[in-house]
Amino acid sequence: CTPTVKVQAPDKPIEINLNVKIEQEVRIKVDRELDSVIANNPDLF
Amino acid sequence: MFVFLLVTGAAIGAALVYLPVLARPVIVQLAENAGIAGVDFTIDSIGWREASLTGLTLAATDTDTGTGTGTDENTSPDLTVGAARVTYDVAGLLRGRADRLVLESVRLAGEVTEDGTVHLPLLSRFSGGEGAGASGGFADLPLDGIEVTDAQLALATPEGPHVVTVDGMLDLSTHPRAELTLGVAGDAVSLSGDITAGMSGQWIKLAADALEAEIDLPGLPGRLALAKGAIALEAPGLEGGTGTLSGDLRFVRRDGDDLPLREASGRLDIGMTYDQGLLRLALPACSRVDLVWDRAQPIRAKSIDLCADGGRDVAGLRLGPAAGEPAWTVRALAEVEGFSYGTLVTGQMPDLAIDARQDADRGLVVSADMSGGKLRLPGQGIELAGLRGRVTLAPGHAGEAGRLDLTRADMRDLQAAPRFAPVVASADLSLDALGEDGWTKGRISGPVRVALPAGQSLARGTVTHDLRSGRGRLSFGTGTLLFSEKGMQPQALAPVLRGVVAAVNGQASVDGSLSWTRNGVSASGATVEMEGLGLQASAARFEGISGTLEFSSLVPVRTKGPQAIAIGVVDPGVPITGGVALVTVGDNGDVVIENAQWPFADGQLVLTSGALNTRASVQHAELAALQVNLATLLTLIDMDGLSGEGTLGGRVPIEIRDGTVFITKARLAAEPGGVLRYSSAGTDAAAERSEGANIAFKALENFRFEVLSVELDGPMDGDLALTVELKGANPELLEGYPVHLTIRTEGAFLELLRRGTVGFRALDVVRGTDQTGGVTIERVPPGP
Amino acid sequence: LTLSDAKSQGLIGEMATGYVGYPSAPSAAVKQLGDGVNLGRKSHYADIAAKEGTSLTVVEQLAGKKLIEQAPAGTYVNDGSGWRRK
Repeated sequence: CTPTVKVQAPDKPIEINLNVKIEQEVRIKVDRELDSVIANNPDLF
Repeated sequence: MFVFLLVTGAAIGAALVYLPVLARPVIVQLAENAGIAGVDFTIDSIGWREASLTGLTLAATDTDTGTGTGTDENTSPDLTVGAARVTYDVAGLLRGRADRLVLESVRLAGEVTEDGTVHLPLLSRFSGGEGAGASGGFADLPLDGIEVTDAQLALATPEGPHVVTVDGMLDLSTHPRAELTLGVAGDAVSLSGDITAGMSGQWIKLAADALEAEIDLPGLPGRLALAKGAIALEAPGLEGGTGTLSGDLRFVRRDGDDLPLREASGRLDIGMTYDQGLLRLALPACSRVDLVWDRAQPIRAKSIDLCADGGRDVAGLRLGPAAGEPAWTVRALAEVEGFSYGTLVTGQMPDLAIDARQDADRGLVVSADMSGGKLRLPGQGIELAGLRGRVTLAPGHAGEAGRLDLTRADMRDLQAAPRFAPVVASADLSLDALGEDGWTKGRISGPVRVALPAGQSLARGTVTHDLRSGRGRLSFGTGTLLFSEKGMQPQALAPVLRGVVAAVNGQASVDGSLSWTRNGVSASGATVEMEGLGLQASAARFEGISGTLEFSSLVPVRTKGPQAIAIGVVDPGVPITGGVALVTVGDNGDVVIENAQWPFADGQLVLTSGALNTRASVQHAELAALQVNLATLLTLIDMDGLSGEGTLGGRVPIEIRDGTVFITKARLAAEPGGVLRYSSAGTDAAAERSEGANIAFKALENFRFEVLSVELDGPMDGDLALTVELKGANPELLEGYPVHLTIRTEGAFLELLRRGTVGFRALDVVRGTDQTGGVTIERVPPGP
Repeated sequence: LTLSDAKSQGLIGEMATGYVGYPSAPSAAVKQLGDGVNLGRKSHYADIAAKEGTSLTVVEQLAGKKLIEQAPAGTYVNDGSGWRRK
C-alpha cells in the first residue's frame, strides 16, 4: 500500500496583527489656509 | 318892567308848553331823515337844555323784516326805549341837530337764522334799507353823541333765545369813538367784555379786552370757554385791516359725550388780516394746547404745539356771501405721555405734523406726517421705531376714510437673543370706514413690505386689521430667497438659527400667514420650500436639501408634525447620497431629525433609534447598516487596488457631544463570507516591509474570508480607531493555510479615506510600520 | 453684540479646540453668538480638511493653537487647563 501523506488540517491559523499608524504630519498648507480664513472672516475669528 | 318879565315868562312858559309841540316834528323829522319811520314817543319834559321822552317805540314794519314777524298787528315793536333824554341848544335844534342822546333800558329784537345770518330790523333800516336814502352809518346821525345804559337785544337763534346787553357811550363828533361793555347771555353763548372803537377819517380802530366767553353748542362735544380775551383791530377803511386775537381757550367735554378727550386748554395768540372779504389768520408763535384724556384712551398726547407751517397763514375764512369752511393748515408737534393699547402696544408715538384742510366737497381732510416714535408690542417682543410716513384721515368720506402710507419703520426683536435681525417695514394701508360710525370702527388693509436695512426685499404681503374687533391677519411671501456664502445667510436673518445652520447656499421660499386678536397672535403658519440647499450643521455638512416644510405655528416656531425632506449629499468622509429624512422643527428653532435613511453602497443606512437634535449638546442615536454590498462600498472608498465581494451589515451607535460625532463601538460584519483583494504597489514596496506584513499582503491578494468584522470607535472626524478582523485564507498562499489577520489603524481613518481620494495607495502607508514596532507575528508551525 | 465686543468684555474666550467657549455661564444672547461663531468656524475647518486631505481635528487643533497665540492681551483663553486672562 502506498503511504498516504495526510496533510493535517492546521489547527492554528497564522496570526497577523497590523497596526497602521496614520501620522499627522504638520501641514504647512493647512496653516496657510487657516491664516487666510481667519483674515477674511473677522466676524468669526 | 314887571310886565315885560311876565310876558317873557309867559312866552317862555308858552314856549315851554308848546316847545314839545315844536320839538316833536323836529325829532320826527330828525328820525325820518335818519331813515327811521314809525317812531312814537311821549315827551316828558322839554327844557332849553334838555328834553326827555319816555315810552319811545319803533313800530315793526313789514317792509324790511320780511321774515313773517311784520304783518299782524300785535307784533312787538322793533325797538322800545324806557327813557331817552336829548340835550341840545335851541340854535342846534333850529339847525336840526341835537347834542347828546341818552337812552336807558333799550329793548331791541332780532333773529339769527339757521344759516347764521343775523336779522336786526333797526340796523337793516339804518344801514340803507330801501327808502332810507341816508348814506347809512352812524356818522350821519344829527347828534354829537349817544349814551346807552341797559340796552338789551333779544335774539331768537336756532339754539334758543339769547340776550345781548350793551352799556356805553358813542361819541359822533369829528372823530367818532365808542366805549361799550358788551354781554351775551343764553344757552349756547355767553360773553362779556369791554369794547372801545374809534374812527378818524377813514381809519377805524377797535379794541376789546377782559373778554370772557363760553360757547356750548349742541353740535360741539363740549363747552368752549375763552378767558382774559383781547381783540385789537385796525382798518384803514372797510376794505382791509389787521388785528390780533388772544386769550386762554379751554374746552371741557360735556358729560356723557363719548369723545375720549376730557379737556383741552391753551394760550391763543392769532394774527388777523382782512382784505376784500377774506379774513386770514396767522400764528405768530406756536401755541401749546395741553390735553387731558380718559385713562382708558390708548393714545394720550400730553400736549400739542400748534404752529404756523413755515410762516404760512394758518387759516383763511372767506366772509360775506360765499362764506365757506376755513381751510386750516397748521402744524402740530404732539408730545405723547405714556401710551398703551391694552397690553398690545406701548411706547412713544411719532411726532405728528398735522395739516387740516378742507377738500373740494367741503369735507375736512386731516393729514399728519409722522416721524420718529418708538412703539413696542410687549406680547410679541417687537419694537417699531423711527417711523416715517403720512396718515391721512378724511372722516367725511364713507368708504376709504383714510390712508396710512408708511414709507419706513425699523422693526427690531426686543429679546436679548433675537429671533430675527432688524428689518425695515413699509406699507400703503387704506382705512375703510365700514358704515357711518367713522374710522375708529373701520378696517385697515393694504400691501406690506419687509426689506433688509441695506435694501434687499425680504417679503411682501397684505395685512387687514379690524379696528372694532381688534382682529387682523397678515399673509406674506418671500419669493425665492437666494442664499450664498458671501451673500444672504438665514442665520443672519434669523439669529435663532445660529448654531443650527451656517455657510448656507441654495434657494428657499417662505409663504405664511399670521392672525391676531386683541390679546395676541391667535393662529399662524407657513410653508417653506427648499431647493438644493447646502448647509453646515453641527454634525455634518448637508448638500442638496430639498422639500417642503409645513409649519403649523410661527409663534412659537413649530412644524406640523414630522416633514419629509430629501438630503442630497451628506459627507461624513464618504459621500452618502439620496437620503430622505423626517424632520420636525421644535420650539426654539431646534431641528430634530426623527428618522432618516440613505441608500448606501446598494444597501441602506437607517437611523433606527434616537433623534438627531441639531441644538442638543449631548445626544445618542443609532444607525443600522443593512445589506451593504462590500464591492460597492470599496469602490466608494475608492482606494487603489482594493476590491472585494460580500454583504456587510451591523449597528453604528453614535453620540454627538457639542457637535462632534463620536462612533461608539460600531460593529459591522460580513456574513456568511466573501473575498477581499488588495494588490499592493510594486515589488520594491515589499522589500522594506516586515515579514509579517509581506505575508499579510500576499494573503490579501486574494483573501477568501469566513469572517470579516469591522469595528469603529472614536470621533468620526478625528482619531477614529478602526479595527478590521479577517479570518480565512488565500488558496494560493501556503496551500490556503488559514490566516487570522487583524488590521488596526490609529489616527484619522477618514483622513486615510480622504488620502485615497487624494490619489495614492493609502495601505502602502504600512511601509513605515516597523519603526513603530507595530507588527507582531506569531508564527505557529503547523501542528505535529 | 459682536464677537470682538464679547471677547473684550470677557464673555467669550478662545479654546485649544479651535472654537470659542464661555469663561462664565453665558447669557442667551452670548450663547447664541457663540453657537453661530463655532458653526461658522466648523464649516471653514471642514472645507480645509477636505481640500488638504486631512482630518477636521487636525485643522481644529492647529486653529486653536493659532487663535490662542493671536488673541490680544486681556482675552480669555483656555488651552485645556482652565480659563486664564491673557
